[in-house]
Amino acid sequence: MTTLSEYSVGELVEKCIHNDKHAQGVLFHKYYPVLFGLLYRYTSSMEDAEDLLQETYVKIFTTIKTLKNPEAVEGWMKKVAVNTALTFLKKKKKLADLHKILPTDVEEENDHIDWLTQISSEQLHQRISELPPGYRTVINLYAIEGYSHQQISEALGISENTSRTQYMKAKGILKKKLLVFKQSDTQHER
Amino acid sequence: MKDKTFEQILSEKLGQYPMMVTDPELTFEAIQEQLREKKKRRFGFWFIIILPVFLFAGTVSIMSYMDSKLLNKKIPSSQNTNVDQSNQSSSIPADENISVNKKQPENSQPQNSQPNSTSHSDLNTQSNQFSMKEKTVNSINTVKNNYETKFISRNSNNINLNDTTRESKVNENEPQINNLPLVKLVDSMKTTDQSTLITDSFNRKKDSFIDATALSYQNMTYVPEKLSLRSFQDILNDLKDERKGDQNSIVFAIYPHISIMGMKNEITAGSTPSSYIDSLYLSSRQSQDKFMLGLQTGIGTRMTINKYFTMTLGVNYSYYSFNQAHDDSVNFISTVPFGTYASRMESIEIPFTLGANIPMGRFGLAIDIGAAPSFNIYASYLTKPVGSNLLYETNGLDSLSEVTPVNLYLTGNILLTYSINNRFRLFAGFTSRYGVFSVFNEGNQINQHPFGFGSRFGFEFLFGKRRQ
Repeated sequence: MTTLSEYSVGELVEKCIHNDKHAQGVLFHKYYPVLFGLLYRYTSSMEDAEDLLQETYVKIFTTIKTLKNPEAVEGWMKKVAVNTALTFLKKKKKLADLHKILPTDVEEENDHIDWLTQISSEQLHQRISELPPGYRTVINLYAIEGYSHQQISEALGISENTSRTQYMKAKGILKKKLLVFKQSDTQHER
Repeated sequence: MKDKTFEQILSEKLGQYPMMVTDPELTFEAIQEQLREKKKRRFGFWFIIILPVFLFAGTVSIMSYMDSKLLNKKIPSSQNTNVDQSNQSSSIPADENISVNKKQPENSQPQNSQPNSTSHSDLNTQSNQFSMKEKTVNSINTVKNNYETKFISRNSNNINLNDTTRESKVNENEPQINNLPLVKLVDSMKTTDQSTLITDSFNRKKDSFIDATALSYQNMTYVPEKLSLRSFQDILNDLKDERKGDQNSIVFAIYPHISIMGMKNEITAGSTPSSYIDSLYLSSRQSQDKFMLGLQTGIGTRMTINKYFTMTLGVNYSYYSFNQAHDDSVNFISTVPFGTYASRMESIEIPFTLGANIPMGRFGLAIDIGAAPSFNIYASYLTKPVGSNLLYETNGLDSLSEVTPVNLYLTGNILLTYSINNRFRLFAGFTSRYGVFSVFNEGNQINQHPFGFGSRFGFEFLFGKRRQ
């Protein structure tokens, strides 16, 4: 396999546009761990994430000619992966809970959780994967991918307000989970 | 902790959090395989879409070309619309020279044939017979318009001199005789040198511009001749159809056709697996490539009611091929690790559809929808392991017994039609079908939901009389 340093990103994209299998291999190996991690955050299933990874790369290789700025290939690939994951979740009807009417008294959690920085990525990943699919999706989109509530509402077909309230609720649940985990971890250490 | 910080931490910790797949090389190969499959399917899709369009367009072009070529052969000139030119012939004596559009001198000499002129052979006073050739290709529409007002009066066996007189007056916006297609004027044409009066069918005398010749067209009969591919009778039928389109008419048609279909085959388990192996079998069957290629041919009858509505009953023979690379379902059962798995099914269908027909001149749009009971007549499965030439085949009755004998499909067609004449019509378009059939294997039931979309092309031959 060719090393990454042989190609600049622009060259890599250009070769992929011309269906260069070698360049496609380089692009795949460079970005698949990040994309796989992203997809796993949405699906919480290794098998589903692997299937979606394949699907994502097939989409990437067939539509890469539409990429206008080759330097932004990573962000574009992530976006393709997110869209693929959202389509999958919609198809599996796992986002149905997002449309449910929520209680208005969403708890606002502004307490100090400095200990959050001490939690490893893997543990954080684990706690997020325990969330219901709808909450998990909103957390992923807003907190990690940096989507605005307007973008989320368009992507998921919900209103901006629903996105906002769902996010607040999801964040509250996640914080509680993290707190419980932190407490049990501390007790375990003692 | 502020929200911003919470989101920042999440983004930093998880935004680039990598995870490794079990076997990246295998995953990449799988991606390449999918890309290859996608290319094949894209080609197949465009082939299915483009092929009927090209076939249809090609056929229409060829037919149009042939049509115009034949017309051009028969007609000396499509430019000539003047009877006075066509009626000038060296073979015609001066006193019999028919000049309609402009006056001729009494003793006008015969003129040689000119470009765009038509000779009238055998035109003489002895035979009292001459024929007038068609003067223009564009005359068909005029003939349509004139037919009932002029030539429908053939029963009187008398073509009015009045008409002939009118034709001489170019600017009167009257139908002109020079638009006659291939008309023979037969019988008892009398010529007199002196008379300048013409007697019409109502015994009214009119001044004739023909100085030297007064013609009395008595008992003339117009005999329409064949007009290239479309006969004069066809034109008349079209006229009748147009006028009586709102009345009931029943037309039967036979339409042999051929269809190419791609089918997306959705497999769902119809029963709970009885064992772990069965569950593996089912899951592998469900995850396998589900693309089928279908070919269908058949014949049927179509009844057109009220010109716009159709009922169709037919018989189709269907052939479906189902190929799967890297399948491990049947191989799992037969302890062969990986291979190519192919199946084939053949069935006879009896489609019954209702639809609408929207005529647009020679073209038309036919839409119909209906049901088609399908009787399976053959099923086979063929397995070829990777790296081996061995074939594991089950076919014929054994495999047939694993599928339900009769299935029901819903079917629909959108067809563009082109009428060559009122007996023969070409069609091409798209067809779709959906149905369910079950496969029973090892005590399990697998319901397959094939959805097909493809192209259909063929021709219709209409027979039977229109009932009006």
